[in-house]
Amino acid sequence: MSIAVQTHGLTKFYGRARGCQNISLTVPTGSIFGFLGPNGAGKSTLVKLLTGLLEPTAGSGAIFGHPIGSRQAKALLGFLPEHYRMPEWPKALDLLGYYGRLAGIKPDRERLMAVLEQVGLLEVARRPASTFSNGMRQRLALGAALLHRPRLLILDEPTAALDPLGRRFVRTLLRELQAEGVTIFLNSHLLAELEQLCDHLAVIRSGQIVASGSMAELAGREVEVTLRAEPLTPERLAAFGPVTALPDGRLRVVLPDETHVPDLAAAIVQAGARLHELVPRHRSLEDLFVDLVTAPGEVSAGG
Amino acid sequence: MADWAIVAGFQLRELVQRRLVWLLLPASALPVALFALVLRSEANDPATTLLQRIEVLQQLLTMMLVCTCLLISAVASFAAIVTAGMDAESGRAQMVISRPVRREGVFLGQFLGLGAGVAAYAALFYLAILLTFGWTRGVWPLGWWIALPVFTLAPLVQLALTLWLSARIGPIGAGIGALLLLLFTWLGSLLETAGHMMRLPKLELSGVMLSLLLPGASLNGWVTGHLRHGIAEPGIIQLQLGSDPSGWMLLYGLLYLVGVLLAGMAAFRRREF
Repeated sequence: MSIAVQTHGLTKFYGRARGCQNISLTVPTGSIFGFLGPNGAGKSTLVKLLTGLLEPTAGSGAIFGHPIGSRQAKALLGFLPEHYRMPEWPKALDLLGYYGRLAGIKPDRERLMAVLEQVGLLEVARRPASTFSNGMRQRLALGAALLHRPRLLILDEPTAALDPLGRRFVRTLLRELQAEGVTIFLNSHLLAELEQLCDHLAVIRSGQIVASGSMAELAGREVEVTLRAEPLTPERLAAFGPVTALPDGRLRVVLPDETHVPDLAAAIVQAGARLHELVPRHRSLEDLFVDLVTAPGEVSAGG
Repeated sequence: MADWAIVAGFQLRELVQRRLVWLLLPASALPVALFALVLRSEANDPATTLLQRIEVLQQLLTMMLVCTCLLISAVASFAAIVTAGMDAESGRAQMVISRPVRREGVFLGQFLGLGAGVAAYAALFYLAILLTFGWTRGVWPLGWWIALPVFTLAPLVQLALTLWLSARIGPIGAGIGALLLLLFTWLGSLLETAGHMMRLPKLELSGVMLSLLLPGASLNGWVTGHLRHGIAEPGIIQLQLGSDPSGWMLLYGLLYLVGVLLAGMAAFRRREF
């Protein structure tokens, strides 16, 4: 497996306060890697360490084999910080040109226009950023991060300021970039978004990684079935797994995997009950997240 | 293009885009207009002798240049605080520093971009004062143009100092620190003058030591001293704020500027964003 980002025991303390501690992560090349955690867990600290904005207190990390913070590593990454507010006076074209030159390239007009088209701002290329909506500004900032064709894109809450259409636009763009081979490190609070986009995930809590691996591995194979059948007592289904009686009269059964769903339905019918509703559902990222940030311990699914 | 040149160009363009800058220019015309009025009214006083008149002219010019230097230095500090604060708070600094740039170059670019604006403002102010002085009274101090770059140097030192402090302790602390240093330095010049006039060597020495905290007052003293000599007549009692102008003042000012810039670059290289 080719590795885009690897960290070993990366630690950052702000005086005595812990930013993050002993972070060891591996981000496979070409993946969309979600980084998740509650507020103050240390997500932004890790992002800043990876982008060279902070010096680690201990540990090390590399981006495509180059030490984090080095000019070689920075040349390979594009970064969009959280709450970035761009200067309002430059035209979209000029602002991209500025960031392109800082990234060490001499962006020609063709490349600038291509990026503006990629982020859906071609028609407003000559308009100053002051006339842009929040969503347009965010997309322009994303364009600035993409201009030098980075191999790794680190995005800190990239869709927080966007409306649903803007979010969909960014999701589509990120999938296109992934298809082109760009690795994406996505720091976001939006669980549904991470669930739709990411193929790998790490969860941080109190500055430490409590779970990491592929989405399939982390989500597990368990299926949660919500059903309404009469007459039926929870005890009749106990053989399938843990059963919970819900306040509205329905029952919730956790099955080891989805192959047990037909057996469950058959058992209900054989028990003489009338089956009105049966909804199987895999555990959501939200379930996983809540479990991880509220329970002690660490889950590692490799990767 | 080098990092510092890219950042400097962008910084200067941003400065020019600020409405406040364009409000500052007409606002700065007001003290110049008042200066012109004072010069005219003094010219109409029939009781004064030629020597008295030259003495008054020297004093007026000195006071005007001292006040202007203080004002422009404060503006330079303000520009540095606003820039450093906005860069940190808006994530712009993160956007720049996360690119393969040399941090020293970014700091230097900021100084050069803002410095170009501040130097242009100082030069315009100086020229407005000297032209007003010359046209109103028909007196053109010898070598007035030599003092122009020295006049712009004091606010540049103030700018560099504020940027350095911003990299060390953040913009708000930097603003307070830089302005306090500016006040202490000018207070030092006043003490030095008072000590000299009252023949109190200890007071004079204290003033000298205090004024060395920043070379702004010394540099301005060089400018006013140079211009006074340019319109001097024998027998005039000269109002001298601080020491007599000397090449050492210039050297100290230049070395101080270079030293602060180097310290600023080192602090910016270690700064965490």
